[in-house]
Amino acid sequence: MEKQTFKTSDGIEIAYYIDDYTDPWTAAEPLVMLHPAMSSSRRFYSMVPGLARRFRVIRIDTRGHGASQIPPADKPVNKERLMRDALEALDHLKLDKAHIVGVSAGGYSAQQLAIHHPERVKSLVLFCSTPGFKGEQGKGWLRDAAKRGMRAVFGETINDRLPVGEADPKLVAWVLDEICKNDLDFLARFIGYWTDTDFMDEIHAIKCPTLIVAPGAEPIGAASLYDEMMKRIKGAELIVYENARHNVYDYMPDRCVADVLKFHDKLGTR
Amino acid sequence: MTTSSFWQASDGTTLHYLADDYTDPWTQPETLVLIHPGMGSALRLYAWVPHLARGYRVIRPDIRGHGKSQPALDKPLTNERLARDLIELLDHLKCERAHVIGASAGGIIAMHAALRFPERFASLGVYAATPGINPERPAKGNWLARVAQGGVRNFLTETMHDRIGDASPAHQKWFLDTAEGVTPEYLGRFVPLMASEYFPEKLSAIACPTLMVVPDPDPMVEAHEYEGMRRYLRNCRYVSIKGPGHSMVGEIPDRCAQEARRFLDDVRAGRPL
Repeated sequence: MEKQTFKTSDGIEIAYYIDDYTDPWTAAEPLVMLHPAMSSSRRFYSMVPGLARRFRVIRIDTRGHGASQIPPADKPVNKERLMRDALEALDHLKLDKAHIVGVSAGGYSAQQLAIHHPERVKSLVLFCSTPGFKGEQGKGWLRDAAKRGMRAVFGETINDRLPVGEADPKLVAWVLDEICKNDLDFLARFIGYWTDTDFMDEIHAIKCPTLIVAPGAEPIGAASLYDEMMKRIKGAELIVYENARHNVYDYMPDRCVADVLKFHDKLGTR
Repeated sequence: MTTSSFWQASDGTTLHYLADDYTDPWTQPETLVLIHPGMGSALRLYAWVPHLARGYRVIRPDIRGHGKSQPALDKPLTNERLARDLIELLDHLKCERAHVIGASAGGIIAMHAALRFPERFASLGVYAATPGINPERPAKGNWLARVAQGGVRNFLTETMHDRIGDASPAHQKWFLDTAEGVTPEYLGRFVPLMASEYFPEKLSAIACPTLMVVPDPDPMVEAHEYEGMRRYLRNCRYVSIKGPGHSMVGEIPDRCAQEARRFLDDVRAGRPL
C-alpha cells in the first residue's frame, strides 16, 4: 500500500503507511509504530518484515516529520497534541485498540496515550524511551545546530546513536542523511518542548502490558531513568541491551523484532 | 508497503505487478520475481513477501489474463509471448538479471523464459511445476469443458482438495477470491497453451542454479513426471514436502518461502546446492 494521509482535528496532514502480510481471512491485530525525533516511518524499514506477517503494521509519521505536514507556528507541539495525533490516527483507522511500539520520542507519545487513554492501548513496547527528555543535552544540540548546521552537530555525535566502527558505515551515513532531512526550525520546537518536559510522575497510570528495552550504554538522556520507570509501571518487563547505543532500532532491528515477538508470545497475542 | 503498478508490454497489453522492498536503502538490491500459478494472481503470494523482501526487491506480476493484467484476447497468446512478458517487465524495472520463482503454470512460464533468455536469470525456482502440462492431464480431468460450463470458481471449488488439501473454509474462500480476474474464455487459450509442449529434456540447457520444490505426493501430478524432470536439471536442489496439495505456494506459504530463502542465501554465498 502506498502512503496514506488524514487530517488531525487541528488541521495538520499526517502521513501513515500500512504493511500487512497477515492471512486475509483472519482478523489481524493492529500494531502502531511511532518513530523518534528527527526520524520518520522510513527508518522502520528493517523491522517491518519481521512484524508484518503477524501484525497489521501501521507506521505513522509524527507531525513535522517524514511526509507529515510541518505545523505552522500557531499550532501546538506538546505532549497533549502529540498524543492526540496518535489517538486521532486510531480513530481514523477505526481501531478501538492497538498494540503500540514507540521508539524514543515516539515512545513519549505512546506513553501519553497509554496514560490518558488506556482503553485504546492493548500493549506497549518502548525502545530507548523515557518519560520526556528534560535537560541540557537536547538544548545543546539545538543551539549548536543553529550555529554550525545539523550535519556538523549530529555527525559529531552520531556515535551516541550508533556505534561507529561496529555498525555498517553505510547505515551510519544513511541515518545521518535521514536526520539532516528534517526542518531545524521545527525540531527547535519539537525537541525544545521535550527538553523542558518530564512526565515520570504520570507513568504509574500505565496499566497495559509493557516492555521497556533500554540501551545499556544509553548516551542520550539518563540511563537511570529506566530503573525508575520499572518501579512505577506495574508489571513492566525490562530488557537491557548491554553496551548498546541509543538507536537500537536502526542498527539491531532483528534483535528488536525478536523481542517484540517474544513479548507478544508471552502475552498470547495471536 | 506493497506498491501496485501497471506497465505496457511490447504488444500494447497493459499488465500489472506488485512490488515490495525492505532492503537497505543505500544498496542496489537484487530482484526476485514470484510468478503465481494459473487461475491465481499475485495476491496468492502475499505471505512469501515478509520472508524475502528484506533481502530482495520482490516483484509479483499478474500473468496476462490474471488478476489486474489484461487478457489481450485479440492478440496471439504463445509461450514466447508469456516469456517476453517476464523479460520486458525486467527491462521496465531496469533489471539485468533476476531470481525467478514460478509456481505450477507460473513455473512453466519461468522455464520457457529461462530457456529463451538464460542471460536474464540469476537463478530459477519452480514449485509444483512440470515442463509443460502433460497433455493427458487436462483432457483426463475434462478441465476446459468444466470451466466453460460452471465457471472458474466452480471448477476450483470442485478440485479444491487436490489444490490446498485440508485448508480451513475461510482459507479456501480466500483461495477462490485470489483467482478472480481470470475468465473461462481466457483459460480456453491459456490451458491448451500450457499443454502444447512437454519439454523435460530441454531443461538440460538451463545452467543457472535451480530449486525444485514439490508436494509429496502431488494429487495433480504423477511422481514420475517430477522424477523425470529432475534428471535433466543439472544444477538443482530438490525438495519434496509431505502433505500439501498442488497449490502448495498458497497452502503452506511460510514453509515454501523459507525454502526459497535458504536456496537464495546459498546461491548468494556460493554454497553448493
